[in-house]
Amino acid sequence: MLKTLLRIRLASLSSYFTGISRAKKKASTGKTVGFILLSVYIFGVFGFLFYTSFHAMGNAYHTLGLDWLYFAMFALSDFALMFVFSIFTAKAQLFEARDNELLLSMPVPPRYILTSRLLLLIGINLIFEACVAIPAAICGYFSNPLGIFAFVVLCLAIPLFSTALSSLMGWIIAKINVHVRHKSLVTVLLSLLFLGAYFYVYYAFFYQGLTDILLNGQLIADHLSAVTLLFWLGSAMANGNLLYLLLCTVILVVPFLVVCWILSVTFIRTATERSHAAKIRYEEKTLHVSSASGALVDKEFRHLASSSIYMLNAGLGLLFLLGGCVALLLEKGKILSLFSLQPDMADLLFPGLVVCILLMHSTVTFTAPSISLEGQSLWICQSLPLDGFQVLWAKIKMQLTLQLPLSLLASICVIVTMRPGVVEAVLALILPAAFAVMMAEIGIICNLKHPNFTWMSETQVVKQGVSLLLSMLIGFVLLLLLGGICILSALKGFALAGLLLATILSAVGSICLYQWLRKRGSALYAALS
Amino acid sequence: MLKIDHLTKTYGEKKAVDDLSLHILPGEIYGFIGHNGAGKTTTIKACCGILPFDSGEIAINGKSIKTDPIACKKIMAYIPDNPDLYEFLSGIKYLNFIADIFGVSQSDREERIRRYAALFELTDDLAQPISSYSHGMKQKLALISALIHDPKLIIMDEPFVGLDPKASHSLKELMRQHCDRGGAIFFSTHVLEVAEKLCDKVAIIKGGRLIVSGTMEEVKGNTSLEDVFLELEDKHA
Repeated sequence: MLKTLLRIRLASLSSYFTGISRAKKKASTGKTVGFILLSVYIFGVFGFLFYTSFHAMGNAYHTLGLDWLYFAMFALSDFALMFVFSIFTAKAQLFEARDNELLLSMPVPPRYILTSRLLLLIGINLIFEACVAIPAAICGYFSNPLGIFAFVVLCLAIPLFSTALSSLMGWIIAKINVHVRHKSLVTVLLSLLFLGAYFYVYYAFFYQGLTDILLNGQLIADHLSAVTLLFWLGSAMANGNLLYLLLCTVILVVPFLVVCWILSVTFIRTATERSHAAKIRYEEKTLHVSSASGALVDKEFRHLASSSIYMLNAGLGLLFLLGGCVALLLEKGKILSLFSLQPDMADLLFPGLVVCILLMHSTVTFTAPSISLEGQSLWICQSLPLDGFQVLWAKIKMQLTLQLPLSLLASICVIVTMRPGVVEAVLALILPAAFAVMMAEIGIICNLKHPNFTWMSETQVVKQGVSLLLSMLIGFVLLLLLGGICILSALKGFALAGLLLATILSAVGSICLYQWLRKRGSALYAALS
Repeated sequence: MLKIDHLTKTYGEKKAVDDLSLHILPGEIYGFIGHNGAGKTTTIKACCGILPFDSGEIAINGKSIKTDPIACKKIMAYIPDNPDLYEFLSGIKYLNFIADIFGVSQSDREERIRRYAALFELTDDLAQPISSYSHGMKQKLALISALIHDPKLIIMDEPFVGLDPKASHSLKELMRQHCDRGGAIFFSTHVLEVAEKLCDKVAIIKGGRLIVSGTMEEVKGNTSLEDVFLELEDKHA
């Protein structure tokens, strides 16, 4: 029975990664290969990024005789990556899956349902872990084979700890949500609070520790070794210390077992619990009248506001953009003084900051899952007297309403900080805005081409849908292209020309995509099913 | 009001609807009957412009659903077999959204919502999110949203499923009143007793092909619709 449940979960995992359902499998071999290559490429890029940082860190720490610290840093990075990716998924996967009630009505022990979902979360964590663990293993210095053994054991134990924490958080939020009316808002606030606290701790230990260690070496290593678990983790992998390995394994696995126990005894109740919030009795009042376009945009906003997972995954880039603006204004002096020490690099700062805005825009993905999110209610807009383009444009408009004001704010912060010439300033305003429009259009086109209406949980389309992966990949390639033009031309002393070219390319791109959507969007939307 | 001419729709190799022709006139309640998988929902979806078809023509009030879908949709309403509505909206927000799309004036929408919500006993629940509604409540909300713009043609797929007896009764009365005012209704059902009492005309479909159609008297004669349906099913097996 557990095997069947696992097979269903794996089939669902594979279909939302590839966008290919079982029914269409025969006709989609080429598509499958394409998506496998795309996945390999994405993981390859992540793996390479980790490899470069581990390579530098591994050699430096080995020279200082601090191999344990290298592996402790690996464990932290590994946990951080898995935690960030699973924190917003656990609640939706465990308690909000659409097939929970169906499965609970069948003669299936609830612990099997829970186990299959937890195994899926662990499986996803293991995939992310591979991006970190493989480069870390290649770049690390193991003093003996027992170290390698410890590394493998801990690579299996760390995902359990990460899954335990994210599941526990999902459970806590699910429990709180039963008693509140604005569930998604509470979820967003709690998730951000938890994530913020985590990043604060991570920054304090990892980033600050890494910076300081370059200056203070052994002193900081001694300081970090005071965090016993980190020292044990690092020493177990570096020196093959079996006692430390045993202690770490227990510390990592026991919380997982405790969380599993808590979830298993409360699963039915948590998964089926209805809101305790008092019923609101309708009282007639004047209804607000809007145009069809206004009503569509309003509907998109209401959908966004109702889904914490949608807000958190698609809109995190906006928060980073806002944070970047604040940091830029507060740390202006520090940034300028840093670059004044290296006059050669000073010319790169202005285009570099503009490219940073583009980077944040490339992570904003409201439109990429927006068609799939219509799910089984797709028929509503299709049966109404609407042009398909109107529906698609409302989705784009929702993203741009949130993104463009922040884009302008970020550009103004860069301009105020850097005080460029008038033309550069105008381009710094236009380029990110044009890029944002282009990214929103790319998201909707990717989703038009790769929709998924058979999801069990919104997570499947908001976090791992093929349209999302594809739009992020295209965004990444465009960022490399446009960012490359800006930076390289600045290096050659033609910063203005580079910014101008990138702006023209973005503007032309967004206009072409708009025209494409106008001509083909309606027909493609009408044919969706 | 609704003219289906030689409609054919295939899914891969399988013909879901095969050369189907029907004509629904103003003032008629037209029942569409067939076993599961006979092609009723496919036909209905094609009529509503949410499913492209291979050949044939569908015209609503003289306009083609293929070439002028928006004009067709403006005068019709569709209720699917499973009312999957926007769960993130409250009942009243959903109705207001539909009214906005059809450009219904403020006074008209308020009056219609008041009237139909009272009729289906949904008024008190309109402020609740649709996600908290039962299947029957969603069906009632879908019905109200279909009536909010006073359509000429209403197309319904199994409209009585999930409705309580009182709501079923109200719906039957509404259907009759709508047709008496010159509107038309085309609906599918498995409840043959309802079809027999309510419909002016009926069509029976099997394997995507029309077996019989005509006025209720022409189709059933002196027997019951159930007997005719079972006999025809056996005959065309």
